[in-house]
Amino acid sequence: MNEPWGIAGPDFLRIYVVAFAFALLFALAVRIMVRAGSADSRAASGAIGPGQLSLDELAYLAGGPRRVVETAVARLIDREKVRPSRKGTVRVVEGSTATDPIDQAVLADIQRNRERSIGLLVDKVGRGDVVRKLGESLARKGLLVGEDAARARWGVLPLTVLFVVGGARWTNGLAEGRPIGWLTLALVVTAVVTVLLYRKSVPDRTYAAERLLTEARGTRSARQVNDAAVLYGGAAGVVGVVALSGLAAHPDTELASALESQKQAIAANNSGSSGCGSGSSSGGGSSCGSSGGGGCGGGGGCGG
Amino acid sequence: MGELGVGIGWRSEIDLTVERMPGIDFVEVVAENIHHDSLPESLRVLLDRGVPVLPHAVSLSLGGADPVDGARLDHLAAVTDALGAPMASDHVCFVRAGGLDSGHLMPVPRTRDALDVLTANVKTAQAALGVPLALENIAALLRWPDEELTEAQFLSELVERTGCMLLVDVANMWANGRNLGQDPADLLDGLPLDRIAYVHVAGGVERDGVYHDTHAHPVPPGVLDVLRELCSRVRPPGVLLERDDLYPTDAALLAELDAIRGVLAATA
Repeated sequence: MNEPWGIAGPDFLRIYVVAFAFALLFALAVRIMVRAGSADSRAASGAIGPGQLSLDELAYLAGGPRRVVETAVARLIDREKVRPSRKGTVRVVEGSTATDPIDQAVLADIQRNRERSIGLLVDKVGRGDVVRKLGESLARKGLLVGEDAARARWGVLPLTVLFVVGGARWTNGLAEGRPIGWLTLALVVTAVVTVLLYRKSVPDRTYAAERLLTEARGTRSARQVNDAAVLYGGAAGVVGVVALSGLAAHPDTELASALESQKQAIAANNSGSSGCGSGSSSGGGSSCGSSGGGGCGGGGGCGG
Repeated sequence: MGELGVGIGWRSEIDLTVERMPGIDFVEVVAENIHHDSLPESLRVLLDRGVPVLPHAVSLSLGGADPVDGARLDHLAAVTDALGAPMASDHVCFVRAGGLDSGHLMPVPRTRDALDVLTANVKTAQAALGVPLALENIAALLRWPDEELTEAQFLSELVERTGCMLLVDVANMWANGRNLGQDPADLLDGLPLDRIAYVHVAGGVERDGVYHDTHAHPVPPGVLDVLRELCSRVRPPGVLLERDDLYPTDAALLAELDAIRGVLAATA
């Protein structure tokens, strides 16, 4: 026998499958490690209780940069510093000022435009420096994956190498007229898994953040959510509910539908920046209203 | 004309605020800002609740020498109808002349000729409307030379000739008192107070010695004094607060409405 590379076809396939299993494990392990954080950050984040996070930080963890702005808007409306209208726009109440930098950014953005649709406001301020800095500080606290998310993608490198080697064998087999059916299948599977893993971004939240969020949400009962909301929001539970579940879940349903009317129209053109990945904690029971069960994605369908 | 009570100018910027304010008996909407086919949801909510919504026009230019613009009149009539309003209103002024739009409410020269033209235009408008028309006195920064009538005489004669109602703006009276030296009490003395449909109250600001009726600043005490003066002579069917910009907190708006109620209670 004059086997290519000195390995028989079935043996090569066996080796390939085992190598594939290890490469896949490696890719998954890298993702897990990124979300678990370094030993230092684990120590930092492990020491944090949910009560030590600001409502804005909690909002960021629950729904990304956009949720931070939504929370600020809910807070400013609650404090009568911003006035909503049925058009889905907001204006600054005459003479209003704020000390919180995110509130200041929201007020400044509305004032620059005199009247601002909630969708544009959330989009613009959510991309602004103040919110970005909040995200960076959460990454330093070991609660957001941050820049490591991009690095996690390189976890597919072994899979890619495996694919290249298998591809060379396949080309060789094809040229020599050998049976390559199973190898073809293996290569297709490798390619699909590699591309999926590469494209699927690592969720922004670290495991420590998931734990904090779960505690804050109190997944077991709506009552606990409300308690948590009261715990975090000095300004009544309303802002806490918005921080955890978005403006769509604002207990004032008339207000929620007014604000959502424009936001959804704009969000439709602007998806993909939610910062709320396929988080494993986006638990079930996304009952609308005040319970705020649903995690990510802005709770579509609520509040109408 | 029944009792209207105390109201506030509805503006889209404060729609939810107005809807949720306690004790709002009626509202007024600028007719040019809405369309009869698609009333704002907020107004429908108020109408469903039984709150009267009165259309207030700003562009008929009834005091102008040109004939009344039929399209504008039709619009006001359609909006009035869609709102089921018991009356409509505009101002004793002109905003256009020779095809040019001033963008302001300009005072009509108080001459007999001008009154003839105004009377004809008001009668045209009344014929098109089907509900009573109320006309509002404006704030002016100038007076035309060679005026033959006082404002009280002019408005009284207008009421007599056309049977129109009066929408008395006490802020405008106060502004004219400040800027033109017209004593509001003299005007009140000469007006047919039984023809008052309702009263406007608004805020303004004094800059460089001139009072501007901005509708964007707090109601000065002097305006409430004119309201008190008016209420001590007659009980107006309604009083409405106008605020068009730089909207303050709900609490501040409520406080201004409470101040109006206070005047009404004190003079009851």
